[in-house]
Amino acid sequence: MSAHAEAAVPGHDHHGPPIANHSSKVDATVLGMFLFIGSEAMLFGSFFAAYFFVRVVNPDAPAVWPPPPYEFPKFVAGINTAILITSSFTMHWALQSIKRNNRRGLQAGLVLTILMGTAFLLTQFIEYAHVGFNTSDGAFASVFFGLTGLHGAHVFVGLTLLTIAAVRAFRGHYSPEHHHGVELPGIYWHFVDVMWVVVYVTVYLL
Amino acid sequence: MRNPLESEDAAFRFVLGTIAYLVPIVLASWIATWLGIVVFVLVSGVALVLLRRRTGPLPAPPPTGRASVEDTPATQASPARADGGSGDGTHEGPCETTDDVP
Repeated sequence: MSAHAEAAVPGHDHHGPPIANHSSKVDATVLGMFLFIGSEAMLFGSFFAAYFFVRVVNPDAPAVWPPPPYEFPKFVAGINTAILITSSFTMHWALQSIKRNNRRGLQAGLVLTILMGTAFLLTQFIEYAHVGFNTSDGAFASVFFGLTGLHGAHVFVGLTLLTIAAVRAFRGHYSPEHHHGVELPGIYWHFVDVMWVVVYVTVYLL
Repeated sequence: MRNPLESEDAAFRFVLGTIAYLVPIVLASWIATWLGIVVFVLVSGVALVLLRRRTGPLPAPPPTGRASVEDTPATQASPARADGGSGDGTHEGPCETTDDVP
């Protein structure tokens, strides 16, 4: 036994280096995802602060949102919202499948979620191309592109995480007992979904 | 109040809860702005009460230690340790317990 280990665990019959201390309340990987999501929530909060300033606090705020003659594509964004909410259901199905040792269900759920997330991003790009205004057309356009673009970037990150999870699922990883690699992207994906619902309601509908 | 994102199950319920929270606000605000504000206050109060009531015992913590490799299938068996240990990465004896660590 090394002197280091002896000093750390005096009187023990444990051999080898000392075990790293960690909290048993929350796993380190889960805590990392919580901290990451917390920072993301604050990032979205700062963008929402800019949005509410432009729309409410600003003395030159337009009486009608968005200021005429511009229009937000509510219908297309509504279809996109339905796609993203459905992807949350398929994500949940994927995780429930692996908990029941249904590997096909896990793979199908992940693939469907990725496909719907990709459809969301492509639709958003098409929406940007046809929206009829640009960031030079006013602060409302800047906060619109800022909020929706920030969310789109998060969808891209979520898709990257889900793709890694899907590749691992097709390579035979994960089991009913050990599926952290799916659970954490799932939590992140649901968080991204929640943020989109809030963005859609506040920017497009209200 | 529990963390609404403590697990994928909880996060999925959070998605559904967010939708259930926002739908009445949107519908009421379409009818009249003042009604939307009233419904927003009411639904926010209900949501806070519901979130605070979810203070039951926490679920068992997920497996700790080596989480990054636990869900990876083993390609070959680990060699047994020379000192008679299991050789599977688990620690035996008093060193295994870390529950008291804050």
